[in-house]
Parts: sequence; C-alpha cells; structure tokens
Amino acid sequence: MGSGTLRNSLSAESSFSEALSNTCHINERAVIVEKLCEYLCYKSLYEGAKKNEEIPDFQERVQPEISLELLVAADYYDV
Amino acid sequence: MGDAGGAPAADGFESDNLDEPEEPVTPRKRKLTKAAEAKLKAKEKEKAKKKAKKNDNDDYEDEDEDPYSALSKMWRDDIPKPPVGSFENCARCQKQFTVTKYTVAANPPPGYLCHPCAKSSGNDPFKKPAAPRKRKPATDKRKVEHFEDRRLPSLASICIQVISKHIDDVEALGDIGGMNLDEIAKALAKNRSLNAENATLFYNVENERLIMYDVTNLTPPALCTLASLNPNLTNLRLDFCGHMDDTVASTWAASLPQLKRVELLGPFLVRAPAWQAFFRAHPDLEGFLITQSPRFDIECMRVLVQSCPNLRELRLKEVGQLSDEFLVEIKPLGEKLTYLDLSYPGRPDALSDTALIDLLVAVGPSLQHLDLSGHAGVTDGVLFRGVKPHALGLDALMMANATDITDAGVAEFFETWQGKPLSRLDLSRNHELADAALGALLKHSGERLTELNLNGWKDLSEDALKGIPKNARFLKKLDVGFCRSADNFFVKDILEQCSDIQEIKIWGCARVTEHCPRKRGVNIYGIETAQIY
Repeated sequence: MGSGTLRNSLSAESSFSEALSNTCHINERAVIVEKLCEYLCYKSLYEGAKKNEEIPDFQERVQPEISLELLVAADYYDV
Repeated sequence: MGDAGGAPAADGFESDNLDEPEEPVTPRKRKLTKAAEAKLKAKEKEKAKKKAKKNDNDDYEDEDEDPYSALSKMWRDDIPKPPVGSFENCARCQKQFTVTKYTVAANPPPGYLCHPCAKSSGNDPFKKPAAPRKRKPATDKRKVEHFEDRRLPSLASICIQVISKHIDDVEALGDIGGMNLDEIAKALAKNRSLNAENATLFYNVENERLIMYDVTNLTPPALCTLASLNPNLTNLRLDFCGHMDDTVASTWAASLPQLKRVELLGPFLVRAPAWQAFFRAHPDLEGFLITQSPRFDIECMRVLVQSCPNLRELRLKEVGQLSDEFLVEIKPLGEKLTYLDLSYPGRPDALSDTALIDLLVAVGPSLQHLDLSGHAGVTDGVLFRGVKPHALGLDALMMANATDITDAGVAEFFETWQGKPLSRLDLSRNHELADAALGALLKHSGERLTELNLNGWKDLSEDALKGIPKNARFLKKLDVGFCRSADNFFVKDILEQCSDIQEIKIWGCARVTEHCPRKRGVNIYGIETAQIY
C-alpha cells in the first residue's frame, strides 16, 4: 500500500477502529484529499516500472497554492 | 595360370581362365566410402604400429593428444621425420630449414615444410586451438530493483521542491499564516531538505523564537542571513548546525542583540576566540546550551562566566575539553544557575568527585535540573556530600551511566534526603542498582515522578518492579529496558494504575510477549515479538 500511515491503521493486526470498520477518516480539505489520491494512483501505477520506461512527472501537477498543506499532509500519511 | 600342358579346356579356350578367381566382394565393404576406408586403414595401421612400437619412447604414445604432432601421424606412411636438428629442404619453397619437433609434413607427401610454408598452408603448429566463441552472456534474468535509478519521489519531497521553486512568490504559496510553521519545519527536517531557499519560509522580522530541527544544509552565509532576517530573536535553537563557524558566530554577535537563549547541537567548527567574542557581545545571555564541541575550552568558560553573570541554563554536553577547572569557573554562577548539564564529556574521567562536590556546594541551592550522566567520577560521595546537603531544590536528576554508584548508596541517599520529590529521574545503565535503590526512590519521589528511566537495572526483581505502579501513579514516561523480570503482568499493572502513562519502553525484556496488553494512546516500544510489516 502506498501510504505508510494508512497501511498501519488498516492492518489486520492492529486493533484500530479503522481496521475493524475498514474505513479511514481523513480530516483534510477536499482538494488535498484529491491530490493525495492522485498521487497514490500515480505511485501504484509506476512503482514497478522498469528502468527505461518513461514516467510522467508529478511535480507539475502540484499547484503551489496547496503545496504547504500538501506537504504537511504528505508527511503525516508517510506518502 | 591355367592347367599344365597345352591341351585346350573342355568348355572353352584356355585364355578364358587366365585371371585368378575374384575375391568375393563382401557387401559391407561396398558401403564404406573412400574416406572411411582410408580412415579404417589408418586405424589398423596405427594399432599395428602401436603394438610394434610399444617399447618406444613415450613421445609417440602421447602423440594422440598432442595437437602439434597429431598431424604428422597421418602421414606416417611418409618418409620418417629426419632427426631433430638436421637440415632439410622444404618441399614447397626448397629453402633449407632446421627440423624441429614442430616440423609438419607436406601435404601431399613426401617432404617436410619449413615453418613459413607450414603456416601459410594453415597448419601452424603454434596456433593455439581456437577458443570456442561464447555466445553473448545472457543478461541477468533476475529482476534487480535499482534503487538509485528508479525511485518514485515521495509526495513530501515533491511538495518541498514546489515550495522551493516558488519561495519568493508570496502570493503563489497562499496564506501561510494559517499553517503551523512548526509542522512544516519538522517535515522539512525529516527529509533533510531544509536549505537556504526554503529556510526563508520561516524567517520573519518579528520572530522571537526560532526552532530548526536540521540545518545541515545551511552554509555559513545562509546562517548569517538567518541572523540578519530575524533580528528580534530571543530564543534560537538549531539542531545539527555543523556548518556553523567563526564567521557565523561573529555575525551573530553583531546582529542578534536580543538573544537570550541559544541552543545548538553540533557547533564544532566555532573556535575559542569566536565563542569569546560572542559571549562578550551578549551580556544578557541567560541560556547557553551546546552539545558536541571539542573546541570549547577553559578560556571560553572563563569569558562566559565573566560576561554573562545572569546565566541560568548551562549545558556543556559532550564537550571534549571538560575538566575540573571548568567546574571551578562555573562556581560564580551559583546564585542563578537552575539548569546544569555536564553529561558525557570527552573523557569519562574528566571530572573528579571532589571537584563535583565543590561545585555542588556552590551552585546546588538554586539548581533544578542536574545532569551528570556519563561521568566515571560520579560516586556515592557526590550524592552524599554534594547533592544531598546542597541541591535540595532539584526537580530532575540524571545520572545515567555512572558506574561507580552502588545500590546501597543510592538507597541510603533517597532514604535520608530532604530534598523535595523529583519529577524526572534517570539512573539508566547503572548495573549495580537494584531493589533497594528502587524501593527507596519510590518512597521518596514516587508521588511526583513523571519520567523514570531504569534502563539496564537487570537485577531488579519482580516484587520491586511491582512497586512502580503502586507508588508512582503519575508516571508519563517509563523506561524499564533490560530489566529481565518485567513481564506482561507488569505492563498490565502500569497501564491500569498509572492513568497518565504515555510511553513505556521495554527493550530487551524477554518476558514481555506480543500478548502484552495495550491501551489507546500509550506507545509501547520494544516488544521483541512484535510483527513488522
């Protein structure tokens, strides 16, 4: 799974409520959540790419206006 | 020939029977081609010759394998090779040459070839057998993950790059005020990507406190700009400031007039004169806390005490040149010093216990925090004659790794000490201490203890451990690593009876298993059988 925090909270071994109910509440603004999901898709898609495959740049898709909040969120979710 | 006499044969003329009867042609022989026949012949001859020449020298026996003379075998029917060393005329070019053991026979026979002719006809006796050319080695079929070439950048690092790119464009970055700048500082430090560009995000003329958790990438000029852009700083804390050097110290001397408290981890480049200039420029300094500096010497100490009489907090942790003379210099600070940390000096025996006792006599009364970890010279004497009578206001006592204090000594100290109960106590890695000490300290300080570190008290018994949840009910952080008797029940007791507990460290406690109870909000570190993902 892409996000370390999400992986730990949903893990079957822990007794977190997220694991039991299989849902994670993310308390961020909508646009931040959207970017996080976008990045998770990007990551899962290109993680196993071979050496010479072209990988599109994600940096151009991060608007500077949200970059500060996104940084804090990315740090929290260990993405 | 035919019959004797001249009488004609009964069924024809005599001349009809002139030939000898033909040999019956065996069907087998017909199938053999000419080449095969020749081979067969050669083989038979070889065998015959081998038998005949069994007593000959071994060279002939080995000729089977030796490629150099294998050829000559084929033409053995030929003129036998003249003795080595004699002259011969080449069969092709008629030149005279010396026969060696490498001389090849001419094809077709008879004759022998000189070396150049032999080479030109392709029978170079010296040519090494052509190495079989290998196919291009098959590419490594295993899937190797090249971490260097291919690594999706983490979202955090992407964000940091975007921020750095737009650092000057205030509008683009939007409203920073709402963000928690501290969180951002921590995120940047975790990535070790705080550099001169994005550091400006935190600078503000109005700043009074500034904490940066990792300034490894800030060069001296960047650190100087830090001072000029934050002139009203009173509290400054920089971790991992390895690049800080004399120029920075002198700039700070000039441009941070309001500085009261400075906390630095790793300013090892700053030389003594620079420190002294810094102190002289800040007479109001109240807190000077540095860790790791081999250059801070006795002169600096002297200047510090002279220039900054109001010093309240002093930390000289991991300072290489720490010695008894330093303690003499610290004494004048006696009235005001509340925080003293002299732990882990360059040499474990840097301070003697007499000097420590003298120091405590002078500064003890006002001290609230004392850290003397890592000193081999700390003995029971220091406790009894230094701390006990003089340091009665102590709130936190750290004496980790002080191998000379004894169980009985510590026990007696706590039993007879008049000081008020401690809230933070660190006596880790003192292997001698055990039940008596624990019992005494719990009786003395139990009701106020919030942080207790007993890492390494391996001889503690289970009964003594049970005293902890009973007596220290307000514990928030507990470290009982390597206390072999700690087990699941002990952890359960702690969780139940210490309602404020936040952190329990049980590294090296083999009896705590993964079935150890957990509680929401409490971090338990060090369970050995924990699952790792």
